[in-house]
Amino acid sequence: MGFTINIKEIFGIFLPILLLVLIVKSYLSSVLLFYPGDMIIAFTLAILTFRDSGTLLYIFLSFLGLFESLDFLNMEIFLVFYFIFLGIFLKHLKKYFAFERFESKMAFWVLSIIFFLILKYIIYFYQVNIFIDWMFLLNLALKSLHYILATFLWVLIFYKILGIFLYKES
Amino acid sequence: MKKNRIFLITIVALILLSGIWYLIKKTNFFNEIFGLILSPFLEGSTYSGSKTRNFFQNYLFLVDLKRENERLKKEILLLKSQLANYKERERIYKELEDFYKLSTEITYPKVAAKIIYKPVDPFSGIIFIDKGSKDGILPQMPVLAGVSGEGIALVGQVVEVYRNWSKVILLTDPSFSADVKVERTGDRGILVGKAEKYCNLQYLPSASQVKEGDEVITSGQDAFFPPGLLVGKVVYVKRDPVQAMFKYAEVEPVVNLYNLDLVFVLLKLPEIPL
Repeated sequence: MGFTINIKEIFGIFLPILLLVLIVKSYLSSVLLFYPGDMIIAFTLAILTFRDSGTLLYIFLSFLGLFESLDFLNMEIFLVFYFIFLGIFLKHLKKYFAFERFESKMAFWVLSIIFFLILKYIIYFYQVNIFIDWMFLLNLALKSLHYILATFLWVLIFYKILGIFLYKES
Repeated sequence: MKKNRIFLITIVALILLSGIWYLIKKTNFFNEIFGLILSPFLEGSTYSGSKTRNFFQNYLFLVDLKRENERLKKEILLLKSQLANYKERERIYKELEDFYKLSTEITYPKVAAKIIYKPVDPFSGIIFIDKGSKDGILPQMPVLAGVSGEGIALVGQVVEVYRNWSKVILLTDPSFSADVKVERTGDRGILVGKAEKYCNLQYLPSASQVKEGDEVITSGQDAFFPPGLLVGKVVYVKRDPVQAMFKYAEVEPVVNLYNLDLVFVLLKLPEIPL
């Protein structure tokens, strides 16, 4: 671990997969009529598992933040900074954890998804202006569980896909 | 070293360009670019997604036909898919016809728009439409949809406009709010979204006789939406536990927001300066 991203990987692997991610996300939303999971954050976490430094990485992360912000209102700057922060945070975090172990990676993915979900909650409760009852909270809990499971599944898928391409490349 | 300098200059130039763009156009430069590049892809995938859904809905239970009828089956499927295609065209045509027939009392011009992307986020209700500033769309314009040929109803409001696409918040989005009234009793309230199937109708008078099944329409008092537009039906009424002087109700939108594929933007701007 501890790899710098290069321009060949950006244009040869990450950008084509990102385009595919956006198309699949749009297609699945139209077919399933329910939330298919946060594919952009899943893709970001999978990238950060393999690559953790380089100016290009932070530029790519800011673009991912911009794509994530498409589903929200006026969140562009906040999400760009959040995605860059995630990159910097993981780079330093790797020193303290046995990141070669798959369990450590899984723990990091789940914690990152939960942390992002908490951020979504903060934004949501800032916007929402209603009386909160137990039914509302139950709905929210179910939605959160669905969000975590679906997004985690996508991280595993992207981790596998990126693993195939990046190891082939090296 | 030289490479890095060029790279840095490009990034600074991009940031400056987006700043200047925002000052002149008041829109996000990157979203304009994304929209220009991605909207055909998103439109295509959303269209093929809805076609796949229709296919599975229509043909999922036809898979156990006998082997000797394979050729006939293929032919029938081909004809059926052609028929489904014609029916879909007819439905869109009828929806447009109904909409323009039913909305003759609405004097504002309307623009029909296709949905190019539905994020289906659990914490928001946003859709992207294929019409933008080049079609005369501006932020805060109301968005309507047909209710199976029986009427038209409010489904949301335009919030961000780019050259060839726009972002619309649906009734269920937490940022959405509208001044509405209950058609039967005339009681006014504020309709707000909460990213759930139903919306909340707040600040109804405590003496209000609102009951389940009552229709909710726009009051026209908020300057955003014209009066009399159908919004939804009351499914639940209760006294507000926080502010006892009010009642609150849950409202189910009359339009199925998950199955939307065609909407109409009313080219109406707020009537009072805000």
